[in-house]
Amino acid sequence: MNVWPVEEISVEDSLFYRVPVSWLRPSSLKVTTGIFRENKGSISTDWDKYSTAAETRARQGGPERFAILRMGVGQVREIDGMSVLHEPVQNLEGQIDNRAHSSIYGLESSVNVIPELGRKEKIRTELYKRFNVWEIPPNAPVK
Amino acid sequence: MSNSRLEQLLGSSKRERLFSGNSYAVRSLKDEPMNFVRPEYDKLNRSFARFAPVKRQHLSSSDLEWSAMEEEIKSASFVLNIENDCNDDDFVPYSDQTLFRATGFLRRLMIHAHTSGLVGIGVPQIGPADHGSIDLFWEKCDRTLLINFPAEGNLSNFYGKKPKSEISGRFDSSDARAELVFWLAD
Repeated sequence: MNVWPVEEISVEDSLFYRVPVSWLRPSSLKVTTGIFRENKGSISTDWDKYSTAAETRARQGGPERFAILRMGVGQVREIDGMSVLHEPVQNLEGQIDNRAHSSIYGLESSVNVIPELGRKEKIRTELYKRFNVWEIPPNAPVK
Repeated sequence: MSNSRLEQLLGSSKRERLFSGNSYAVRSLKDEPMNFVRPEYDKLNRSFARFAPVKRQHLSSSDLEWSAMEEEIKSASFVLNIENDCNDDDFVPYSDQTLFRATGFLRRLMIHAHTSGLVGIGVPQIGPADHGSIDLFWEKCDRTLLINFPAEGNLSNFYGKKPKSEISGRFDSSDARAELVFWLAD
């Protein structure tokens, strides 16, 4: 039984996005346009109301393999076609319970819509411009 | 042949070959002596010629830009070693074919720019993106251009933005796309 309600996320809040260090160029470890990508239909993040950046980093195990980006909810929603929804995970087989889990939708076009050429590249550029400083940098010591 | 011409050839061999295919046809030194010193004779009376060392500094702006691009291409090979170590359901391995398409396009674009006299379009960041695709991302001053090369096929999507101008669309990446050069340089 789910006891965690789905809540409205304020534009003042933030999301933590876990990025595998292996996606980054070893010589620079900078944020790139390529880190913004969906997995199972959305960009999976944690809401800062229920998670710290360090907790998000450690959630999948091996925290040293990840860096964390902080994404302002208001800044995400101001991008055309992007939305943020709270989707707590609870009692789902094969998944760790996570009250903070939230999803960013809109990066990939719906299959029912004629794709606007270059739309995804535009959104990734917009995300990169807004979020290009690490909250927890790659190779930061694990606390 | 002038000193500067020879320096240019020595400094940027690959591009010169791509330009003309015959850039190394050096004319007789007798016709145009360079740093040539008159024949000398050793103790056994064998003649030899001595050349002054050719300096490799003073590379042109286009040479420097080309070298920076080659450095970027070289360092982008890390994408071929990326593994799915984070249980990403949508992970597609990065192939050397995809990287080759992206870097081949970049070289053609740069050659097109330099042969058009446009130097300074900048070197993009080459990096991994979703579904095994590869990005070229220019970020300079007031403009950005992102071109994505998918794991399959030659069709690339792009988006660029600068003050008072936005471009987006799809193209066949086996072309050089001259308008992107002019858009970046303008």
